[in-house]
Amino acid sequence: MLERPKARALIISDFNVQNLAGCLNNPGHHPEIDIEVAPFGQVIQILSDFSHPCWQHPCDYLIVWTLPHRIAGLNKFLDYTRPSVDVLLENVDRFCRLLHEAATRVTALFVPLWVIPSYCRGLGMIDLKSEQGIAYALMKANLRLVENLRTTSNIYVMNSQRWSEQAGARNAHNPKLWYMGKIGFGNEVFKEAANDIRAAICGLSGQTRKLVIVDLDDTLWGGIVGDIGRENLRLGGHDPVGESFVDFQLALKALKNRGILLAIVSKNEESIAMAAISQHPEMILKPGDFAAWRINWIDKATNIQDLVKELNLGLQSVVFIDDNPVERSRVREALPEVYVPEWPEDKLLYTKALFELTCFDVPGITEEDLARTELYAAERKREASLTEGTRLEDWLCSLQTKVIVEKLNGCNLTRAAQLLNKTNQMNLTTRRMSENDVAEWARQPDHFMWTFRVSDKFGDAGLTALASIEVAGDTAAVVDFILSCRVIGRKIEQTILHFIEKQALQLEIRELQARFIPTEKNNVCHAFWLKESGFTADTAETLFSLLLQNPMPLPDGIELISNGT
Amino acid sequence: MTNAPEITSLISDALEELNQLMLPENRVKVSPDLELFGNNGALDSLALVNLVVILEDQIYSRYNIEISLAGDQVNPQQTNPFKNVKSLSEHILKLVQNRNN
Repeated sequence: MLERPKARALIISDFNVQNLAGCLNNPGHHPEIDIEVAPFGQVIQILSDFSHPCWQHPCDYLIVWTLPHRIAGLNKFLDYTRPSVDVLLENVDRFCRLLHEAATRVTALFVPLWVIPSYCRGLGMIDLKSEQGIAYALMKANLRLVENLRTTSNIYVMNSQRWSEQAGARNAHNPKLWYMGKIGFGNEVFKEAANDIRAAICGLSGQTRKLVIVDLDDTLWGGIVGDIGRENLRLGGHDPVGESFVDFQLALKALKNRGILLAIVSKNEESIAMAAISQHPEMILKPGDFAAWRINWIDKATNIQDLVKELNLGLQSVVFIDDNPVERSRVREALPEVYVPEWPEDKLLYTKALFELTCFDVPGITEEDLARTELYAAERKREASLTEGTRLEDWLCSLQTKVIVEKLNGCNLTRAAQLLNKTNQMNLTTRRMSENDVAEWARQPDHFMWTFRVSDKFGDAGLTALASIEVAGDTAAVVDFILSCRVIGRKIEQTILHFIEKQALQLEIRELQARFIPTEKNNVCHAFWLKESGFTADTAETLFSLLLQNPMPLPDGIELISNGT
Repeated sequence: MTNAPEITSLISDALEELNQLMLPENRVKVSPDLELFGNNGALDSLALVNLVVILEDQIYSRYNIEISLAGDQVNPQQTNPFKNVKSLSEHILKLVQNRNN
């Protein structure tokens, strides 16, 4: 089985960041990271010299955390010694050039914003008015930093001002830590930073939660709908609790709008609960906002398993929110892969608790993310159209499936990287790559990578498949063969193979090979290659070969459209 | 109000928190007999700085008093209050009681 190797991170800083390294390395936190800390105070030297010993071992992630005093030259403002905003911005530009260069050596580079202690009042009332104000200069420097770095796909400027605010004025900066240990921030700041960096690394490696399952009574609204009726629920109106439930629903809807699926698992009468969702005038979330629901009297853990299966997701994608500690405990125990956050008793704190979850971070948001709930609604209609007695082939033909194939390009790169990093089941090699690495790989002359967009009469499933080959002489290796679980089993697999084989023939390739790398989750991919690919397996059933003569036929009922291949 | 067992428990909590800031190889096994700083001490100078700050914060939170554990009056060359949990506990108790009086 392929084991995910531990990520390795290097921290470069102009203050002592050993405490951050400790926080990032805490046992029991996910993901586990090996940390190396460069000697502090040598930021420019290390970023300018890749022969420095701390670059000796390749690292996945780089964290460059600096104070604004020297790097940006904010000390001139702190000292009031003829500060110049232009010089400050030139310093920022110079620093960013070094960061761009360093980013080419890692999967991702994290750069926290510059902050100064809140007790530093600068020029007081004119600190944001005068060009010599510290707060003014700091804002300009940070904005320049963000603008310079935001378009580089693997550089992430982190909002460290939030870390300081979360830590509170007393804990954000501690002069004793600075004078006795050259530690730039209080330890609460490092804990917040470690949380955000871990969440980002999870997001970059495709370990983001994709589905929030909520309970109803006293979770989505106040009260028990089956007992008091929908008209007496605490939801909206001039009532702090009612208002807080509306805000909680708005926060859930915001998650849905950015591509996180919502679902319901509740012990209730379905007809009563759905009537409340559809008809209560203050409900923000409507039935169409939920990808699926199980509203019945069955054990919630069983319902969650069943619902996740319907949505073709893994339990590791799920967050379960329930006000009842007994239900939370039951789900935690029965389904340890499901993330069940502790939930506040005070209903006024629900929205805050939801906002504080760090499990939804992603490196980019694609069109497919934004339309995800609609895609599942289309899938429900599609499944419903497969009536009993219909032959599968006839049903597939009736879908009028269109597959649009195009070469990897700037427009589909983000989604391609997402597919590579998030797809577990129909994935030949489960290789994980950053956007930069994908683009770089596909740029090589003997490498070919294509994306596939699938739609049918029920809707557009979006860009849901990816394939790549690497040519060596008259042989080519299928490097990636990836399908989102949304379109598995609809003959898209055969369509992709048809396309690859046709391309290979055009390139005068004699033999195609595909090496399968097993993981805990890609059995479905192995079964396809073994039984339906038309390739011959070796005795270990991991290397599949095909001597090319004629390409696999395009499945009936599928229209393959080439859009620049 | 304060007593030695309470302060010893405070130090244990602080050491647990300190462990969260340290790389795995530097983490200490928390016990009342732990040698902290100096010969055979488990803490390096950076860890000691962290421990001092954590303890001062905890004392502020618990007793609402600000004390300086490593102030000018402390001379580790003569008597090292950070030698072990017992000596640190006595040091804290003295400072807290002085502030209370």
